[in-house]
Amino acid sequence: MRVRAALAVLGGLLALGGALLFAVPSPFDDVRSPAVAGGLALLALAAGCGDSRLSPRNLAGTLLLASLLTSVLVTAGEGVAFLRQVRTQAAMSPTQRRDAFLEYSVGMRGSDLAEIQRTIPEDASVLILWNSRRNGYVAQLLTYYLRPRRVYFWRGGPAFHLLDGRAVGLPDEAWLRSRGIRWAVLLQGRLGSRARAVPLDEVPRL
Amino acid sequence: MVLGPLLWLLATLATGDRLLAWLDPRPRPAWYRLSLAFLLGLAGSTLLAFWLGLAGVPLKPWLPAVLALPFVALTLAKGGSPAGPSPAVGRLALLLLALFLALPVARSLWEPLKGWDARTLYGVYTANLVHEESVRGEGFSDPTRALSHANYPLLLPLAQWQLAGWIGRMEDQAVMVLFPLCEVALLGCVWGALAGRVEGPWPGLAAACAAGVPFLYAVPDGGVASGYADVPLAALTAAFCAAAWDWLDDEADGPLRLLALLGAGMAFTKRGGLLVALTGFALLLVFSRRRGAVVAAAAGFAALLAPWWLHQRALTPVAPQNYAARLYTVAVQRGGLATEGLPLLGRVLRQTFLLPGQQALFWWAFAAAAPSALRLGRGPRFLVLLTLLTAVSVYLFLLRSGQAAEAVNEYSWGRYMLPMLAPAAMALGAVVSPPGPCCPRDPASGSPGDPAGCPR
Repeated sequence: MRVRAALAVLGGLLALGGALLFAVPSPFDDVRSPAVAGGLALLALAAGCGDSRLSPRNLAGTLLLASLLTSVLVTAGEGVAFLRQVRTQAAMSPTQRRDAFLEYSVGMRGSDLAEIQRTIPEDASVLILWNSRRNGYVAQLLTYYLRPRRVYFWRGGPAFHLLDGRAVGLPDEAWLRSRGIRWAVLLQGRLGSRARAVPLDEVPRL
Repeated sequence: MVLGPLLWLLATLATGDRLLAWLDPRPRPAWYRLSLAFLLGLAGSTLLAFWLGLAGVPLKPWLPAVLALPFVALTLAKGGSPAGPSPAVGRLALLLLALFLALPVARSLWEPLKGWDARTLYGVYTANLVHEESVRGEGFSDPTRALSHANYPLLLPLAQWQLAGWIGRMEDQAVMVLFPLCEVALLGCVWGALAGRVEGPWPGLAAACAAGVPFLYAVPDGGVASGYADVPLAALTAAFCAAAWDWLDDEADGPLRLLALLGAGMAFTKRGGLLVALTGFALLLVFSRRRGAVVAAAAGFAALLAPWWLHQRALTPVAPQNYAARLYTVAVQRGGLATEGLPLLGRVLRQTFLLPGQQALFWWAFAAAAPSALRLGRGPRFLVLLTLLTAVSVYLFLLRSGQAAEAVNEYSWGRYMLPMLAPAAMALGAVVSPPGPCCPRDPASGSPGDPAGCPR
């Protein structure tokens, strides 16, 4: 009897402590979850849950219910954050929401994207030029937003020198002609995320 | 915007229900039957479209409707697969399921497409399919057209191509309906597999426990609203596990036919799906008495997948990934098992058990249930071993893919764990439910079977 009471007290303290830690940010992130789980398990052990001893079924069932409770708490927090986001963006169109996300995530401006889409015909072939390590990701992303234009990448040439505004090394004419490329999109700026459409013959060549 | 996705859903359900009636016509509860029908329709219709595309048939926008037409006509003429008695899900479980599903559904339909792979990989592939009307177009075959993988599986892009066909254009937001539907199907399979075997609220609570894993609704990179292939793969894996459990119960041929198609669908969704399917077939081979039938099903799986397998080998990967060589380099040459393997193990264990904001306490519950599940019978044993072997495979994948050296991407492990969600939830549900008199159900009538057949 005394063992069960001790287990119940210990379990209650652990579970309560763990639950309180959910309200506290790091450095307790890694402790709260096992504290709640262990505490609830000890409580289940003490209570017996209709069984006089700890059974795997009791333990797993208790943890399942504890997991559901944790999920409800996380859902509540996430739900509130989502509702705040909806309230903030309620007046925005889907395109404006997309542009806001693009600017926040990779620094690409929706106005740049709209300008490129206006300038380059939908049936055109486009060469994307960039030369910083980071903006390779932006180039990849641009492929999606430039559809249905055919987008090409060229990895074989010298550096493009886009950041310091010098002339650009381009693939040879045969390569460009075979793909019907007449447009380039230059990715510039500190983060390499400012995109600009340029007719290929206006690109300053090395 | 609403009509197109709705018609696509009905066409997919009709296709899948017809396939279900042909492949394994046993009575099933309504939600389980619809879930299986959706996933079979998804796998069957995309594989069919791929084969046609490979044979040179142009992937016109009207083709999805034409391909669905005979299935719809047959379903209308002959009816769908037989319906069985539907046990109640339980009020608490329904409430929790609604709560946990509300957020991913709202996020999918409200937020702009955010997932990186959803745009740079699947989105670009879908655009290639829609605009080039071919699976062999320049967008797939010319390495200068792509920055990363050009040979990734096509189930998701083909499903999005179908949606674009029904909607009339390629639409960012509308294709997102696919992912919450996959989650609902996943939960339907978890519930359905358990509802036929145990009684009380536990099947519904086990499904709710899986739905409550925050990774599905709280994580931007890999959750339902991110548009990645992980959720469809997890759903197909759930159906695969449900069919495998049916097979291990009665060793009738029907589930094996389902397994062949669902396994092919898994491998056609994501490369990791091939590994999970092969692991599943290997375990079935070990646990089955009719091993020849399992080998025949595995051969059917290979035959369904062979055209894709041969086709993707002909495509040059833009970034060649020799995983075996990398694993050798990391693990043997650099002594990486100690220097990289252990820190990686620490990180994945932390992400599994210590981040309630991503996994709740789901894996604690599974860890507590697994030893008992191993003693419950062949079905639960299969589910636990599939979960554990998949976890080991994902760990080795992370080790060999070089992600061990840097911090494992905050969400990589959680994303790769999604296929394990359904088998783990099924095993958990089997353990926590009280011993009932009704397992397994009689396949002919769907009514509770002989208590002697109960795995306990």
